[in-house]
Amino acid sequence: MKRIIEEIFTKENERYNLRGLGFFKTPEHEAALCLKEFPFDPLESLSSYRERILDKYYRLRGFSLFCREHIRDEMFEKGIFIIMKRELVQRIKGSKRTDTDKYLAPENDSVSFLLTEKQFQEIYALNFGCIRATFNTPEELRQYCDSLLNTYFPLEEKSVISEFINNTTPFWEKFYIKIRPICSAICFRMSGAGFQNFADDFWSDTCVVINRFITSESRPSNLNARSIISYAVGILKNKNRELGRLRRKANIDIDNLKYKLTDEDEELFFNNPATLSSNFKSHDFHFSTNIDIQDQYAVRGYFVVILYNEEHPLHNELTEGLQDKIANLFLHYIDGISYEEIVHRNKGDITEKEMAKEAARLRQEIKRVKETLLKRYYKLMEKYR
Amino acid sequence: MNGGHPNMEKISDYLTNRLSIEEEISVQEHLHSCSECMEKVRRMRSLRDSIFDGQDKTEEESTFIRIVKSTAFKAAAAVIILAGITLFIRESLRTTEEVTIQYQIFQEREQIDPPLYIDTFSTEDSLYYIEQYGEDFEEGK
Repeated sequence: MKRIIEEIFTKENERYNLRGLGFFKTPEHEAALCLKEFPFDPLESLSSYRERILDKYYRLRGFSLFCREHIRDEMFEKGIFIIMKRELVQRIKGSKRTDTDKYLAPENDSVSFLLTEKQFQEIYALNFGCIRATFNTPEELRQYCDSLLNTYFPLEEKSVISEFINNTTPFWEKFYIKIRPICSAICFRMSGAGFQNFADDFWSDTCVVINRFITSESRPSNLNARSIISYAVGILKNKNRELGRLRRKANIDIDNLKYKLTDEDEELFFNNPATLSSNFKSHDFHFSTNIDIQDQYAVRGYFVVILYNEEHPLHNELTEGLQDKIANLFLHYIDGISYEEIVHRNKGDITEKEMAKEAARLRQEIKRVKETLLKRYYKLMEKYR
Repeated sequence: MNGGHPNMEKISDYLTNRLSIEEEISVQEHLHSCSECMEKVRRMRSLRDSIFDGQDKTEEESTFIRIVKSTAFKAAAAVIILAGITLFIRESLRTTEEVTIQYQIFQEREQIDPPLYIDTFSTEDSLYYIEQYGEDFEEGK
Protein backbone atom coordinates (compact mmCIF):
# COMPACT_ATOMS: atom_id res chain seq x y z
CA MET A 1 0.00 0.00 0.00
CA LYS A 2 2.85 2.37 0.86
CA ARG A 3 4.22 1.98 -2.66
CA ILE A 4 1.02 3.03 -4.41
CA ILE A 5 0.44 5.96 -2.04
CA GLU A 6 3.98 7.10 -2.82
CA GLU A 7 3.14 6.72 -6.48
CA ILE A 8 0.00 8.87 -6.06
CA PHE A 9 1.95 11.63 -4.32
CA THR A 10 4.80 11.40 -6.82
CA LYS A 11 2.25 11.87 -9.60
CA GLU A 12 0.60 14.78 -7.76
CA ASN A 13 4.03 16.38 -7.54
CA GLU A 14 4.72 15.79 -11.23
CA ARG A 15 1.34 17.19 -12.18
CA TYR A 16 1.38 20.36 -10.07
CA ASN A 17 5.09 20.77 -9.25
CA LEU A 18 4.21 20.93 -5.53
CA ARG A 19 7.77 20.36 -4.41
CA GLY A 20 9.04 23.16 -6.63
CA LEU A 21 6.39 25.46 -5.20
CA GLY A 22 7.48 24.59 -1.67
CA PHE A 23 4.27 22.78 -0.68
CA PHE A 24 5.72 19.24 -0.62
CA LYS A 25 8.83 18.21 1.26
CA THR A 26 9.22 15.00 -0.74
CA PRO A 27 6.47 12.75 -2.15
CA GLU A 28 7.73 9.93 0.11
CA HIS A 29 7.51 12.13 3.19
CA GLU A 30 3.98 13.27 2.28
CA ALA A 31 2.91 9.66 1.61
CA ALA A 32 4.17 8.50 5.01
CA LEU A 33 2.43 11.40 6.72
CA CYS A 34 -0.79 10.72 4.85
CA LEU A 35 -0.79 7.00 5.63
CA LYS A 36 -0.29 7.82 9.29
CA GLU A 37 -3.22 10.26 9.31
CA PHE A 38 -5.56 8.33 7.03
CA PRO A 39 -4.98 4.57 7.13
CA PHE A 40 -6.18 2.52 4.18
CA ASP A 41 -9.43 0.61 4.60
CA PRO A 42 -9.04 -2.77 2.81
CA LEU A 43 -12.74 -2.69 1.82
CA GLU A 44 -12.32 0.58 -0.03
CA SER A 45 -11.27 0.80 -3.69
CA LEU A 46 -8.06 2.64 -4.55
CA SER A 47 -9.86 5.36 -6.53
CA SER A 48 -12.26 6.23 -3.70
CA TYR A 49 -9.44 6.07 -1.13
CA ARG A 50 -7.34 8.32 -3.39
CA GLU A 51 -10.14 10.84 -3.71
CA ARG A 52 -10.87 10.78 0.02
CA ILE A 53 -7.30 11.03 1.27
CA LEU A 54 -6.15 13.64 -1.21
CA ASP A 55 -9.10 15.87 -0.37
CA LYS A 56 -8.59 15.52 3.40
CA TYR A 57 -4.82 15.68 3.15
CA TYR A 58 -4.71 18.94 1.20
CA ARG A 59 -7.22 20.50 3.60
CA LEU A 60 -5.10 19.37 6.55
CA ARG A 61 -1.96 20.82 4.99
CA GLY A 62 -3.71 24.13 4.20
CA PHE A 63 -3.50 24.15 0.42
CA SER A 64 -6.05 26.96 0.24
CA LEU A 65 -3.93 29.29 2.36
CA PHE A 66 -0.84 28.24 0.44
CA CYS A 67 -2.52 29.33 -2.81
CA ARG A 68 -3.54 32.70 -1.43
CA GLU A 69 -0.02 33.35 -0.13
CA HIS A 70 1.66 32.35 -3.39
CA ILE A 71 -0.74 33.76 -5.94
CA ARG A 72 1.74 36.48 -6.93
CA ASP A 73 4.76 34.15 -7.09
CA GLU A 74 6.27 33.70 -10.51
CA MET A 75 6.60 29.94 -9.97
CA PHE A 76 2.94 29.64 -9.03
CA GLU A 77 1.90 31.61 -12.10
CA LYS A 78 4.07 29.39 -14.30
CA GLY A 79 2.46 26.33 -12.70
CA ILE A 80 -1.02 27.63 -13.57
CA PHE A 81 0.12 28.26 -17.15
CA ILE A 82 1.27 24.64 -17.44
CA ILE A 83 -1.98 23.33 -15.91
CA MET A 84 -4.00 25.36 -18.42
CA LYS A 85 -1.94 24.14 -21.35
CA ARG A 86 -2.38 20.54 -20.21
CA GLU A 87 -6.11 21.07 -19.98
CA LEU A 88 -6.10 22.40 -23.52
CA VAL A 89 -4.29 19.27 -24.73
CA GLN A 90 -7.15 17.23 -23.26
CA ARG A 91 -9.63 19.44 -25.12
CA ILE A 92 -7.82 18.92 -28.41
CA LYS A 93 -8.06 15.17 -27.86
CA GLY A 94 -11.68 15.25 -26.73
CA SER A 95 -13.36 17.81 -28.96
CA LYS A 96 -14.42 17.96 -32.60
CA ARG A 97 -11.81 19.46 -34.91
CA THR A 98 -12.68 23.03 -35.85
CA ASP A 99 -12.61 24.26 -39.46
CA THR A 100 -9.83 26.68 -38.52
CA ASP A 101 -7.73 23.74 -37.32
CA LYS A 102 -8.53 21.76 -40.45
CA TYR A 103 -6.78 24.43 -42.54
CA LEU A 104 -4.17 25.82 -40.17
CA ALA A 105 -3.09 23.16 -37.64
CA PRO A 106 -1.27 19.84 -38.01
CA GLU A 107 -3.10 16.58 -37.41
CA ASN A 108 -3.84 15.92 -33.70
CA ASP A 109 -2.97 19.51 -32.95
CA SER A 110 -4.81 22.79 -32.82
CA VAL A 111 -4.52 26.54 -33.19
CA SER A 112 -8.04 27.04 -31.85
CA PHE A 113 -6.87 25.75 -28.45
CA LEU A 114 -3.49 27.45 -28.46
CA LEU A 115 -2.69 29.50 -25.36
CA THR A 116 0.15 31.96 -25.78
CA GLU A 117 2.05 33.46 -22.85
CA LYS A 118 0.62 36.92 -23.62
CA GLN A 119 -2.94 35.64 -23.58
CA PHE A 120 -2.26 33.72 -20.37
CA GLN A 121 -0.97 36.89 -18.70
CA GLU A 122 -4.27 38.60 -19.53
CA ILE A 123 -6.33 35.67 -18.22
CA TYR A 124 -4.22 35.44 -15.06
CA ALA A 125 -4.38 39.15 -14.32
CA LEU A 126 -8.14 39.18 -14.80
CA ASN A 127 -9.00 36.02 -12.89
CA PHE A 128 -6.24 35.48 -10.35
CA GLY A 129 -5.33 39.10 -9.55
CA CYS A 130 -8.10 39.40 -6.97
CA ILE A 131 -8.95 35.80 -6.18
CA ARG A 132 -12.33 35.14 -4.63
CA ALA A 133 -12.51 31.36 -5.04
CA THR A 134 -11.01 28.96 -2.48
CA PHE A 135 -9.02 25.98 -3.69
CA ASN A 136 -8.81 23.25 -1.12
CA THR A 137 -6.95 20.86 -3.42
CA PRO A 138 -4.87 21.15 -6.60
CA GLU A 139 -7.73 19.33 -8.31
CA GLU A 140 -10.09 22.20 -7.41
CA LEU A 141 -7.52 24.64 -8.76
CA ARG A 142 -7.38 22.61 -12.00
CA GLN A 143 -11.17 22.65 -12.23
CA TYR A 144 -11.17 26.42 -11.82
CA CYS A 145 -8.61 26.72 -14.64
CA ASP A 146 -10.77 24.40 -16.71
CA SER A 147 -13.86 26.55 -16.18
CA LEU A 148 -11.89 29.66 -17.16
CA LEU A 149 -10.71 28.00 -20.35
CA ASN A 150 -14.34 27.31 -21.26
CA THR A 151 -14.93 31.02 -21.64
CA TYR A 152 -11.92 31.61 -23.88
CA PHE A 153 -11.59 28.47 -26.01
CA PRO A 154 -11.89 27.40 -28.78
CA LEU A 155 -10.68 30.66 -30.26
CA GLU A 156 -12.83 32.11 -33.01
CA GLU A 157 -11.45 32.06 -36.53
CA LYS A 158 -11.16 35.87 -36.44
CA SER A 159 -8.96 35.76 -33.32
CA VAL A 160 -6.73 33.07 -34.83
CA ILE A 161 -6.32 35.08 -38.04
CA SER A 162 -5.39 38.19 -36.06
CA GLU A 163 -2.67 36.17 -34.28
CA PHE A 164 -1.33 35.19 -37.72
CA ILE A 165 -1.43 38.83 -38.84
CA ASN A 166 0.37 39.89 -35.65
CA ASN A 167 3.06 37.31 -36.43
CA THR A 168 2.56 35.34 -33.20
CA THR A 169 5.24 32.65 -33.38
CA PRO A 170 3.41 29.63 -31.82
CA PHE A 171 0.57 30.00 -34.33
CA TRP A 172 2.92 30.23 -37.29
CA GLU A 173 4.95 27.26 -36.06
CA LYS A 174 1.85 25.06 -36.09
CA PHE A 175 1.04 26.24 -39.60
CA TYR A 176 4.55 25.52 -40.85
CA ILE A 177 4.22 21.97 -39.54
CA LYS A 178 0.81 21.75 -41.19
CA ILE A 179 2.09 22.61 -44.67
CA ARG A 180 5.12 20.32 -44.57
CA PRO A 181 3.36 17.12 -45.61
CA ILE A 182 1.20 19.13 -48.03
CA CYS A 183 4.41 20.41 -49.58
CA SER A 184 5.70 16.85 -49.97
CA ALA A 185 2.37 15.73 -51.46
CA ILE A 186 2.25 18.58 -53.99
CA CYS A 187 5.90 18.14 -54.96
CA PHE A 188 5.36 14.40 -55.38
CA ARG A 189 2.23 14.91 -57.50
CA MET A 190 3.70 17.60 -59.69
CA SER A 191 7.31 16.66 -60.00
CA GLY A 192 7.30 12.91 -59.49
CA ALA A 193 10.12 10.88 -58.03
CA GLY A 194 13.06 12.71 -56.60
CA PHE A 195 10.79 15.31 -55.01
CA GLN A 196 12.48 14.79 -51.65
CA ASN A 197 15.60 16.55 -52.93
CA PHE A 198 13.89 19.90 -53.12
CA ALA A 199 10.69 19.49 -51.04
CA ASP A 200 12.39 20.74 -47.87
CA ASP A 201 13.75 23.82 -49.65
CA PHE A 202 10.33 24.54 -51.15
CA TRP A 203 8.78 24.12 -47.73
CA SER A 204 11.10 26.57 -45.99
CA ASP A 205 10.80 29.08 -48.88
CA THR A 206 7.01 28.81 -48.74
CA CYS A 207 7.02 29.40 -44.96
CA VAL A 208 9.03 32.62 -45.41
CA VAL A 209 6.92 33.91 -48.34
CA ILE A 210 3.53 33.18 -46.77
CA ASN A 211 4.58 34.74 -43.47
CA ARG A 212 5.78 37.92 -45.21
CA PHE A 213 2.59 38.12 -47.22
CA ILE A 214 0.15 37.65 -44.34
CA THR A 215 1.99 40.00 -41.98
CA SER A 216 2.38 42.72 -44.65
CA GLU A 217 -0.09 45.50 -45.35
CA SER A 218 -0.72 44.14 -48.84
CA ARG A 219 -2.67 41.12 -47.51
CA PRO A 220 -6.35 40.94 -48.52
CA SER A 221 -8.81 42.41 -46.04
CA ASN A 222 -11.16 39.40 -45.98
CA LEU A 223 -8.56 36.88 -44.85
CA ASN A 224 -9.73 33.53 -43.45
CA ALA A 225 -8.20 30.16 -42.58
CA ARG A 226 -8.99 28.66 -45.97
CA SER A 227 -7.47 31.60 -47.84
CA ILE A 228 -4.19 31.32 -45.86
CA ILE A 229 -3.74 27.68 -46.82
CA SER A 230 -4.78 28.54 -50.40
CA TYR A 231 -1.94 31.05 -50.64
CA ALA A 232 0.50 28.50 -49.27
CA VAL A 233 -0.65 25.89 -51.80
CA GLY A 234 -0.47 28.52 -54.55
CA ILE A 235 3.12 29.38 -53.64
CA LEU A 236 4.05 25.69 -53.63
CA LYS A 237 2.43 25.14 -57.01
CA ASN A 238 4.22 28.12 -58.52
CA LYS A 239 7.53 26.85 -57.20
CA ASN A 240 6.92 23.43 -58.73
CA ARG A 241 5.82 25.05 -61.98
CA GLU A 242 9.05 27.06 -62.11
CA LEU A 243 11.00 23.87 -61.52
CA GLY A 244 9.01 22.13 -64.26
CA ARG A 245 9.83 24.90 -66.70
CA LEU A 246 13.48 24.67 -65.80
CA ARG A 247 13.49 20.95 -66.37
CA ARG A 248 11.35 21.29 -69.52
CA LYS A 249 9.41 18.30 -68.48
CA ALA A 250 6.66 17.53 -70.98
CA ASN A 251 4.59 15.42 -68.61
CA ILE A 252 3.62 18.34 -66.35
CA ASP A 253 0.38 19.98 -67.35
CA ILE A 254 1.37 23.51 -66.41
CA ASP A 255 -1.74 25.19 -67.83
CA ASN A 256 -4.05 23.23 -65.60
CA LEU A 257 -2.37 24.34 -62.39
CA LYS A 258 -4.54 26.77 -60.46
CA TYR A 259 -3.59 29.28 -57.84
CA LYS A 260 -6.79 29.06 -55.81
CA LEU A 261 -7.59 26.11 -53.62
CA THR A 262 -10.35 24.23 -55.38
CA ASP A 263 -12.67 21.52 -54.11
CA GLU A 264 -10.53 19.04 -55.98
CA ASP A 265 -7.46 20.31 -54.12
CA GLU A 266 -9.31 19.97 -50.90
CA GLU A 267 -10.00 16.34 -51.67
CA LEU A 268 -6.44 15.76 -52.81
CA PHE A 269 -4.56 17.49 -50.06
CA PHE A 270 -6.81 17.51 -47.01
CA ASN A 271 -9.10 14.54 -47.21
CA ASN A 272 -6.80 12.21 -49.06
CA PRO A 273 -5.40 9.47 -46.80
CA ALA A 274 -2.31 9.34 -49.00
CA THR A 275 -1.33 12.89 -48.03
CA LEU A 276 -1.61 12.41 -44.30
CA SER A 277 1.53 13.37 -42.47
CA SER A 278 1.72 9.86 -41.06
CA ASN A 279 2.54 8.67 -44.59
CA PHE A 280 5.63 10.83 -44.59
CA LYS A 281 7.76 9.21 -41.93
CA SER A 282 10.23 12.06 -41.68
CA HIS A 283 7.37 14.43 -40.86
CA ASP A 284 5.59 12.06 -38.57
CA PHE A 285 6.91 13.33 -35.27
CA HIS A 286 6.84 16.80 -33.79
CA PHE A 287 7.69 17.77 -30.22
CA SER A 288 5.21 20.64 -30.26
CA THR A 289 2.35 18.21 -30.77
CA ASN A 290 3.64 15.84 -28.09
CA ILE A 291 5.05 17.85 -25.23
CA ASP A 292 4.97 21.28 -23.73
CA ILE A 293 8.58 22.43 -23.73
CA GLN A 294 7.93 24.78 -20.81
CA ASP A 295 6.90 21.85 -18.63
CA GLN A 296 10.11 20.44 -17.15
CA TYR A 297 8.47 17.14 -16.16
CA ALA A 298 7.21 16.69 -19.71
CA VAL A 299 10.58 17.55 -21.29
CA ARG A 300 12.49 15.27 -18.93
CA GLY A 301 9.92 12.52 -19.06
CA TYR A 302 9.94 12.55 -22.83
CA PHE A 303 13.70 12.09 -22.92
CA VAL A 304 13.30 8.87 -20.98
CA VAL A 305 10.33 7.85 -23.14
CA ILE A 306 12.51 8.09 -26.27
CA LEU A 307 15.52 6.49 -24.60
CA TYR A 308 13.66 3.65 -22.95
CA ASN A 309 11.10 2.89 -25.66
CA GLU A 310 12.85 1.15 -28.56
CA GLU A 311 9.69 1.50 -30.66
CA HIS A 312 9.73 5.29 -30.51
CA PRO A 313 10.35 6.92 -33.94
CA LEU A 314 13.26 8.95 -32.54
CA HIS A 315 14.87 6.17 -30.47
CA ASN A 316 17.42 5.17 -33.13
CA GLU A 317 18.34 8.76 -33.88
CA LEU A 318 18.95 9.39 -30.18
CA THR A 319 20.93 6.25 -29.42
CA GLU A 320 22.79 5.62 -32.68
CA GLY A 321 26.26 4.18 -32.02
CA LEU A 322 25.82 4.26 -28.24
CA GLN A 323 23.72 1.13 -27.65
CA ASP A 324 26.40 -0.82 -25.70
CA LYS A 325 27.25 2.16 -23.56
CA ILE A 326 23.57 2.84 -22.87
CA ALA A 327 23.25 -0.69 -21.47
CA ASN A 328 25.90 0.22 -18.86
CA LEU A 329 24.15 3.52 -18.20
CA PHE A 330 20.91 1.65 -17.50
CA LEU A 331 22.69 -0.77 -15.19
CA HIS A 332 24.16 2.06 -13.19
CA TYR A 333 21.29 4.55 -13.14
CA ILE A 334 18.25 2.26 -13.09
CA ASP A 335 19.47 -0.83 -11.27
CA GLY A 336 21.84 1.11 -9.05
CA ILE A 337 24.77 -1.24 -9.77
CA SER A 338 28.17 0.20 -8.86
CA TYR A 339 30.87 0.84 -11.49
CA GLU A 340 33.03 -1.89 -9.92
CA GLU A 341 30.22 -4.43 -10.15
CA ILE A 342 29.59 -3.58 -13.82
CA VAL A 343 33.32 -3.95 -14.54
CA HIS A 344 33.29 -7.28 -12.70
CA ARG A 345 30.34 -8.45 -14.81
CA ASN A 346 32.01 -7.43 -18.05
CA LYS A 347 35.63 -8.36 -17.34
CA GLY A 348 35.45 -11.03 -14.66
CA ASP A 349 38.07 -11.23 -11.91
CA ILE A 350 40.80 -8.65 -12.38
CA THR A 351 43.47 -7.20 -10.11
CA GLU A 352 42.65 -4.38 -7.70
CA LYS A 353 44.77 -1.92 -9.66
CA GLU A 354 43.09 -2.84 -12.94
CA MET A 355 39.67 -2.66 -11.29
CA ALA A 356 40.32 0.90 -10.09
CA LYS A 357 41.48 1.87 -13.55
CA GLU A 358 38.53 0.20 -15.34
CA ALA A 359 35.96 1.59 -12.89
CA ALA A 360 37.30 5.12 -13.42
CA ARG A 361 37.17 4.58 -17.19
CA LEU A 362 33.58 3.32 -16.98
CA ARG A 363 32.54 6.27 -14.85
CA GLN A 364 33.95 8.65 -17.43
CA GLU A 365 32.29 6.69 -20.23
CA ILE A 366 28.83 6.81 -18.57
CA LYS A 367 29.24 10.51 -17.88
CA ARG A 368 30.13 11.18 -21.53
CA VAL A 369 27.24 9.03 -22.81
CA LYS A 370 24.83 10.94 -20.60
CA GLU A 371 26.11 14.26 -21.90
CA THR A 372 25.99 13.08 -25.52
CA LEU A 373 22.42 11.81 -25.12
CA LEU A 374 21.27 15.08 -23.60
CA LYS A 375 22.94 17.11 -26.35
CA ARG A 376 21.32 14.92 -28.98
CA TYR A 377 17.94 15.21 -27.26
CA TYR A 378 18.04 19.02 -27.24
CA LYS A 379 19.09 18.97 -30.90
CA LEU A 380 16.17 16.64 -31.69
CA MET A 381 13.82 19.01 -29.89
CA GLU A 382 15.07 21.82 -32.08
CA LYS A 383 14.92 19.71 -35.24
CA TYR A 384 11.42 18.33 -34.68
CA ARG A 385 9.91 21.28 -32.88
CA MET B 1 -4.25 -1.31 -22.67
CA ASN B 2 -2.42 -4.34 -24.01
CA GLY B 3 -3.71 -7.59 -22.51
CA GLY B 4 -4.60 -5.73 -19.31
CA HIS B 5 -1.26 -3.89 -19.16
CA PRO B 6 -1.10 -0.30 -20.32
CA ASN B 7 1.01 -0.08 -23.48
CA MET B 8 4.22 1.92 -23.73
CA GLU B 9 2.38 4.91 -25.17
CA LYS B 10 0.03 5.02 -22.20
CA ILE B 11 2.90 4.74 -19.72
CA SER B 12 4.76 7.47 -21.62
CA ASP B 13 1.68 9.71 -21.48
CA TYR B 14 1.33 8.91 -17.79
CA LEU B 15 4.94 9.98 -17.13
CA THR B 16 4.67 13.14 -19.22
CA ASN B 17 1.33 14.24 -17.70
CA ARG B 18 -0.65 13.83 -20.90
CA LEU B 19 -3.47 11.79 -19.41
CA SER B 20 -6.76 13.09 -18.07
CA ILE B 21 -7.43 12.64 -14.34
CA GLU B 22 -9.71 9.67 -15.06
CA GLU B 23 -7.09 7.97 -17.27
CA GLU B 24 -4.43 8.66 -14.66
CA ILE B 25 -6.50 7.04 -11.91
CA SER B 26 -7.11 4.02 -14.12
CA VAL B 27 -3.33 3.64 -14.69
CA GLN B 28 -2.70 3.98 -10.95
CA GLU B 29 -5.29 1.30 -10.21
CA HIS B 30 -3.44 -0.99 -12.60
CA LEU B 31 -0.08 -0.13 -11.05
CA HIS B 32 -1.51 -0.98 -7.65
CA SER B 33 -2.16 -4.54 -8.76
CA CYS B 34 0.68 -5.04 -11.28
CA SER B 35 4.20 -5.03 -9.95
CA GLU B 36 5.61 -5.50 -13.46
CA CYS B 37 4.17 -2.19 -14.71
CA MET B 38 4.98 -0.48 -11.44
CA GLU B 39 8.58 -1.58 -11.89
CA LYS B 40 8.60 -0.23 -15.46
CA VAL B 41 7.36 3.17 -14.25
CA ARG B 42 9.88 3.12 -11.41
CA ARG B 43 12.75 2.34 -13.77
CA MET B 44 11.81 5.12 -16.19
CA ARG B 45 11.42 7.62 -13.40
CA SER B 46 14.66 6.52 -11.79
CA LEU B 47 16.48 7.00 -15.10
CA ARG B 48 14.92 10.46 -15.51
CA ASP B 49 15.84 11.56 -11.99
CA SER B 50 19.40 10.21 -12.14
CA ILE B 51 20.11 11.90 -15.42
CA PHE B 52 18.48 15.25 -14.75
CA ASP B 53 19.23 15.62 -11.02
CA GLY B 54 22.93 15.87 -11.77
CA GLN B 55 22.14 18.35 -14.49
CA ASP B 56 20.10 20.41 -12.09
CA LYS B 57 23.11 20.87 -9.84
CA THR B 58 25.19 22.13 -12.76
CA GLU B 59 22.36 24.30 -14.02
CA GLU B 60 21.92 25.88 -10.60
CA GLU B 61 25.57 26.91 -10.53
CA SER B 62 26.23 29.85 -12.77
CA THR B 63 29.23 29.92 -15.08
CA PHE B 64 30.86 32.45 -12.74
CA ILE B 65 30.51 30.12 -9.74
CA ARG B 66 31.87 27.19 -11.75
CA ILE B 67 34.88 29.26 -12.82
CA VAL B 68 35.44 30.35 -9.21
CA LYS B 69 35.28 26.73 -8.05
CA SER B 70 37.75 25.45 -10.66
CA THR B 71 41.26 24.38 -9.60
CA ALA B 72 42.88 26.63 -12.20
CA PHE B 73 41.07 29.62 -10.77
CA LYS B 74 42.09 28.70 -7.23
CA ALA B 75 45.75 28.34 -8.29
CA ALA B 76 45.64 31.67 -10.16
CA ALA B 77 44.04 33.36 -7.16
CA ALA B 78 46.75 31.94 -4.81
CA VAL B 79 49.53 33.21 -7.12
CA ILE B 80 47.93 36.66 -7.34
CA ILE B 81 47.48 36.88 -3.54
CA LEU B 82 51.10 35.76 -2.92
CA ALA B 83 52.40 38.24 -5.47
CA GLY B 84 50.29 40.95 -3.84
CA ILE B 85 51.64 40.20 -0.37
CA THR B 86 55.24 40.14 -1.65
CA LEU B 87 54.78 43.45 -3.43
CA PHE B 88 53.20 45.03 -0.34
CA ILE B 89 56.03 43.92 1.97
CA ARG B 90 58.67 45.03 -0.53
CA GLU B 91 57.04 48.41 -1.01
CA SER B 92 56.68 48.92 2.78
CA LEU B 93 60.36 48.14 3.36
CA ARG B 94 61.39 50.44 0.53
CA THR B 95 59.25 53.30 1.91
CA THR B 96 60.68 52.90 5.44
CA GLU B 97 64.20 52.95 4.04
CA GLU B 98 63.52 56.07 1.96
CA VAL B 99 61.98 57.89 4.93
CA THR B 100 65.02 57.09 7.09
CA ILE B 101 67.40 58.36 4.40
CA GLN B 102 65.36 61.53 3.89
CA TYR B 103 65.36 62.15 7.65
CA GLN B 104 69.09 61.74 7.81
CA ILE B 105 69.60 64.21 4.93
CA PHE B 106 67.28 66.70 6.67
CA GLN B 107 69.18 66.38 9.96
CA GLU B 108 72.51 66.89 8.20
CA ARG B 109 71.19 69.93 6.33
CA GLU B 110 69.86 71.44 9.58
CA GLN B 111 73.31 71.24 11.12
CA ILE B 112 74.90 73.01 8.11
CA ASP B 113 72.23 75.70 7.52
CA PRO B 114 70.29 76.61 10.66
CA PRO B 115 66.72 77.09 9.78
CA LEU B 116 65.43 80.60 9.13
CA TYR B 117 62.70 81.31 11.67
CA ILE B 118 59.97 83.70 10.68
CA ASP B 119 59.48 86.46 13.24
CA THR B 120 56.07 86.90 14.73
CA PHE B 121 54.67 90.18 15.99
CA SER B 122 54.66 89.72 19.77
CA THR B 123 53.81 91.95 22.77
CA GLU B 124 57.53 92.64 23.13
CA ASP B 125 57.56 93.99 19.57
CA SER B 126 54.59 96.21 20.36
CA LEU B 127 56.38 97.70 23.31
CA TYR B 128 59.43 98.37 21.13
CA TYR B 129 57.39 100.17 18.51
CA ILE B 130 55.51 102.16 21.13
CA GLU B 131 58.83 103.25 22.48
CA GLN B 132 60.05 104.20 19.01
CA TYR B 133 56.96 105.85 17.54
CA GLY B 134 54.92 106.89 20.55
CA GLU B 135 51.36 106.23 21.68
CA ASP B 136 50.06 106.25 18.07
CA PHE B 137 51.20 102.74 17.66
CA GLU B 138 49.14 101.54 20.60
CA GLU B 139 47.04 98.51 19.87
CA GLY B 140 43.57 99.28 18.62
CA LYS B 141 44.43 102.82 17.35
